[in-house]
Amino acid sequence: MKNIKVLEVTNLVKHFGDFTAIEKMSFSIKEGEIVGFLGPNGAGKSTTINCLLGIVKPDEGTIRVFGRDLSKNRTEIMQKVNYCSAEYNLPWHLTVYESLFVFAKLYSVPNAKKRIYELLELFEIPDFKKEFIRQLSFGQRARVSLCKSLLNKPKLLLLDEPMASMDPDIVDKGIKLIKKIQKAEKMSILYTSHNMWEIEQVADIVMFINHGKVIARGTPLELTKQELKLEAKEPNLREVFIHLTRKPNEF
Amino acid sequence: MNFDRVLAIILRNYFLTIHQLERFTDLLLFPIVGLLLWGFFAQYVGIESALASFLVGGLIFWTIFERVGSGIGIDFMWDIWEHNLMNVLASPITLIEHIGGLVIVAILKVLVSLAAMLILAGFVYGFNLATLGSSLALLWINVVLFAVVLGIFNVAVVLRFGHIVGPLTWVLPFAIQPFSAAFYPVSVLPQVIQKIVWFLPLSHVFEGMRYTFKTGKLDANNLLVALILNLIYFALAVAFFIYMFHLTRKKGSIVKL
Repeated sequence: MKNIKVLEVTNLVKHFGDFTAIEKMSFSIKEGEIVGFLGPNGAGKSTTINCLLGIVKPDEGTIRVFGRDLSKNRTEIMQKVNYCSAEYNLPWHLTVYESLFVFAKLYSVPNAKKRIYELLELFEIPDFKKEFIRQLSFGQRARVSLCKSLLNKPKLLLLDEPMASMDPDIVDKGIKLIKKIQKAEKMSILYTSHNMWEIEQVADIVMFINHGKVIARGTPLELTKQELKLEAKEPNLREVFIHLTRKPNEF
Repeated sequence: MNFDRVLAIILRNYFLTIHQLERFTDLLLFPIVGLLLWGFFAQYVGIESALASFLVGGLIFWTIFERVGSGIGIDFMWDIWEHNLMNVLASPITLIEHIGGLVIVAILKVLVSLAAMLILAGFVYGFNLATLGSSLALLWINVVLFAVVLGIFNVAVVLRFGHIVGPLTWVLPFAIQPFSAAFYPVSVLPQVIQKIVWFLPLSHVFEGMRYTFKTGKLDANNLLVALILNLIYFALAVAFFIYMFHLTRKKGSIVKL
């Protein structure tokens, strides 16, 4: 892993009326690093990702991607960034191939057909290419969304609960596949999930946020030792999560 | 402007159209049925040929306006209805490319509808739009321009307030229709309304169309006024769209669409 910063967020602030979604958040991601981005519901994870995509405008702070200011170079930057969330669909009334082809064009992917077939093979769904997105199961749709997110061979991938609707077997395969592709392509990934096991498997570094602030950062094992005051040999992010996010005397 | 990204918007709508019967009927069935309905009605009541031309010509140009004007908003809303807008917005596409793609789609669709209507009008009623001569292109440009203005306005409002205001997309052209003077001259309208109606480019377009049908000459005055009004409204619509887009990004409501 090189020391090049792919993403650098400095003093990011976002208010929605009186509510502070992000408060002076700063962090960075290095080239080839997978960062697990954790926090309770409403902590500011999705808002941060939406700011990183340039969809929501921060009130203060700077976001530099590949060393360039996102607010001034969004289009060029997004050519090398991609995003996947189980919350959003691909075009419901299009076939898998058509949907991926449209997104391949949106990202100006050269030799789009070849790339689509490669990814469908990789995610073991080549037989679904003529199926409509609406006909697929949740898990199949999530896999197609992951294919979409890898179309442009991104250097920075933002994954917002990408495997929320997959069964454990598919999650396991998906994680192995993402790690394999990530290594091969030297991709950096910001990965959110509420499945702590998934994060333990995938993340090099874990960053916990709450009330729009980064409250802890480290490897899964480091955080387990540091936050739970244990001489642990295995990470236990579930307990760390509860410890960090539950208020004193609550339950 | 990146052609690939504009093409993506066009392709997305092409794929949608070939799979969606309702979009296909929108493209051909409704314009053709409308033309048949009013064409036969004109024949039944024995309208003289000049008046019949006004009616059929008005209907064809009105259809262009309505299809382009509502089409831009509806095509934009498909991404909201399918919960896909975030994926599109997360891509490198720019505002201009997105709206540009939607405008091209709307124009391509209306060309298909227009071709079908012209062929039918020629065969069934002996109506030839080419009799409008050089006015035809100017009328067409003005109608499409104002429809684009309306489409951009609709998308801006939907962006800001969500699909709850989506029906405006097809209600607005309908609401404008009585004041557009598509099927009758402006002089028919009450005096007070006439003063307001002259601010609509469409009223100039349709007055110009009737003048050309009647005299065979180009109504340069009306077409020029229509063009100037269109350019002003176009600039205002683009400014409104940019303002709404920035407001939506600031408020974060864009991700809730």
